[in-house]
Amino acid sequence: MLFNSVEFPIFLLVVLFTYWLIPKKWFQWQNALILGASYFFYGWWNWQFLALIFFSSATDFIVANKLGKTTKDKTRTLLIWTSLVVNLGILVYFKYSNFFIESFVDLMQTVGLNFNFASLNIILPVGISFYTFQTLSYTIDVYRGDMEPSKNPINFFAYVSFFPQLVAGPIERASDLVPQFEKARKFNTELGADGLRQIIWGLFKKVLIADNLAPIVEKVFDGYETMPPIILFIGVTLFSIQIYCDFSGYSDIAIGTARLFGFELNQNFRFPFFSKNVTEFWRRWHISLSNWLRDYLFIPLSIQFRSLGIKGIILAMMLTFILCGLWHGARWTFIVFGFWQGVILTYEFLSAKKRGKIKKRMNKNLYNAISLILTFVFWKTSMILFRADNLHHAWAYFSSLISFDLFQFSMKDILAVMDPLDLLKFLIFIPFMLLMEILQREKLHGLEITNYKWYTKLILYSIIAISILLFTPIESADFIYFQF
Amino acid sequence: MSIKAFLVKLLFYSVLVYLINLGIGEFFKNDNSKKTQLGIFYPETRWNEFYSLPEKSLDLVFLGSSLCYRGINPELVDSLTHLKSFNLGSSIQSLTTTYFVFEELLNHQHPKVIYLDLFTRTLNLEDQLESVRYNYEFMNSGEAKDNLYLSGLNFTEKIQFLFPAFYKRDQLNSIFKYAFKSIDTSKISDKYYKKGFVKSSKRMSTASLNLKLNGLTKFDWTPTERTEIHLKYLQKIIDRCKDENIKLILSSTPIPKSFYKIIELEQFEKTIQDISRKNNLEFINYNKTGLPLNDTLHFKDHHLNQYGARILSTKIAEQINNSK
Repeated sequence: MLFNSVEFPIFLLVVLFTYWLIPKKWFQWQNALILGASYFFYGWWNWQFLALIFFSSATDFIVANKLGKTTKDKTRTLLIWTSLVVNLGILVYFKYSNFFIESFVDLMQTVGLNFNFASLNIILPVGISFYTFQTLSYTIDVYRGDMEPSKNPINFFAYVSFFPQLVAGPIERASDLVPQFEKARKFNTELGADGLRQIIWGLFKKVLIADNLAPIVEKVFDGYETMPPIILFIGVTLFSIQIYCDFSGYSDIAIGTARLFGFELNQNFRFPFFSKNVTEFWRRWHISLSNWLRDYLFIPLSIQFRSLGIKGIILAMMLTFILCGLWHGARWTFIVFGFWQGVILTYEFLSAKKRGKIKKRMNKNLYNAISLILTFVFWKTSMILFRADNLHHAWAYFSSLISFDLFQFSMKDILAVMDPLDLLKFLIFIPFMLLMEILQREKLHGLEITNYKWYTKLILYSIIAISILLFTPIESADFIYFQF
Repeated sequence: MSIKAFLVKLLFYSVLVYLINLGIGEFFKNDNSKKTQLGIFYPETRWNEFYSLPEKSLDLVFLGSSLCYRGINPELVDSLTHLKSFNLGSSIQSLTTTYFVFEELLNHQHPKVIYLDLFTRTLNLEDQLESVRYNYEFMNSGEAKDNLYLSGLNFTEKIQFLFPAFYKRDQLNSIFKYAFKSIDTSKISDKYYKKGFVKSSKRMSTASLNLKLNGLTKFDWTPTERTEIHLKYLQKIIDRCKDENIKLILSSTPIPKSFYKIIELEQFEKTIQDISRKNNLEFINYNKTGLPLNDTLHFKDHHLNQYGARILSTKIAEQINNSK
């Protein structure tokens, strides 16, 4: 079930109403309701893959409880490896099997050996990368002694499958979310009201910006060979905005929905387009994934490579980002995307002192403005890799973009890829979104406008709600991160 | 804030947004009325003309989609056959919608013959809202209209139908297009003519048709979840026609030859042939009757223009005369 479908608000109303009708002291029944609703929510897409979530949850529940009971190192190691093999095995099988087979065949062909492997007919279960990482963090935390295992299977299963964030995050740590399932919750009107505002803000970004941009971006990336450089430039800029609005929009709806049920999820985006370097960008972009990778991959790798000194840190960083790229999808473009991020972060790590000196000598505002623009340009360039079908496509797009004709601006070219109404929509919605996010940069989301006058709020809510009704594209697009 | 105050606020905002939505719906309705007056929006005129006919005065009725109302000119058919006919085709008319249009037809008329024109989309259209909206608003109140909403739409579509600002939003493009300039009526190449027929004077060149070929996968024959339902309604039409002693002829208006190259129609045609055989009905596929048509006799991708419609209508009249 999609957040932007007609079914979702009906589903949400029914579940929410039933949920708060259950007395507070029977919160276990509320958890059972969440579990049932979450499985229904996921099963709406494909009920057969519910078995996979169940299996993954059951494995980690059993493993964690056994970990809590034993102190023997050998048994503990065996148990954590069981969890890793099961979870990563499922992920690798469903997400990467075809990629590895095809890459192997390609490699063999380059050395003159011909293998004829047929690709496996595997459907990628929606959200597998998200819930696998979520449930893995639980067993690792229990293994490390950072948290006690959950004794109640319903609480734990509800945590793994919690429908607001099941299919595209935020990737919630068990230590943050499981305790919330283990205590009674009271309806908090402030939290609920702000949750609703956050849902509306998420829908605004997803439906009005991302979904409207999707066909234009597709047109530019598919027909790049015949497009002038300025359109390719606009195309990749729009894709950067599309993916941000798509994913952060999803996160806002997820967090807002969870708040309606009395849960607090972690912020997943902190206005990343206002970052002054790439390191900061990754602290603001898909925060739950960045934190996960930092805690469960980068830090352990850095410790592992500590004997290598700075080289060890760089190696850990490169490996982390290559795997981060691979997490996004089984394609070489994502691996190169990750590698490219690693290279720039390494550069920033090594040049931190030098850049600090330049900053001192320059006007602060000018330095910040240049940094902001450079970071966005870097991110945009990376987005070519993110959006392209393969490395050849990415390179061809990039090389067509780099041209002296880039500065030849023609309205006719723009109107060839979007009609005037689309152009008007973007000229209103995108600056409005950026303005709200600048004004609200210290808040949780762009529509946290509790301090505004009542009539300003009334006008804003009405305009956004009506715009959603009026400007939802006829062909609604899936959330991009569902494919990851 | 207390829960009561929270709920009151929420209710207030929801009612306000809903009322604005209804207001926008009225705005869209007015826009359609203006277009109706100019002759470039047809459903209202077609239904009004239909309701103005004397009861049980029609001999022949054509049902189907835009291919039908642009391709078959009842006036020409009437002049050649001395019958009284009417074209009740409507935009994106799926078979489910056709059934309720057919019910409304029988509430007022009892034709001897019905031509039911079929195209891939009439059988595999998923979004019923698109189809229903061109009839519901303009049909007289009654059981057929109620059933079109109650049975013609699924649960989700019924909810969407309560939000005219949402389901009519595609009108915004034309509203925006003419916001800064008035419609030049002398340049309008297709207009409502009479008896349900829409006359299109524009000719399409083969080159411009070929340009359109890329985006036409939507016309391909791929059965959808809704196909079964559409076929169920087709069977209901067939059964009712038998009960009412109405001769039902299944037909398919011609599409450009260049489209035929890229759209796999065989399976679609086989499905219709099987149904017609099973129910002992005549199926006339005008793509295969050797009509002297070429791409310039079409308008707006696959529709016939008035010149193409003349050829098709003459052929239909000839077949009717031969069967007398």
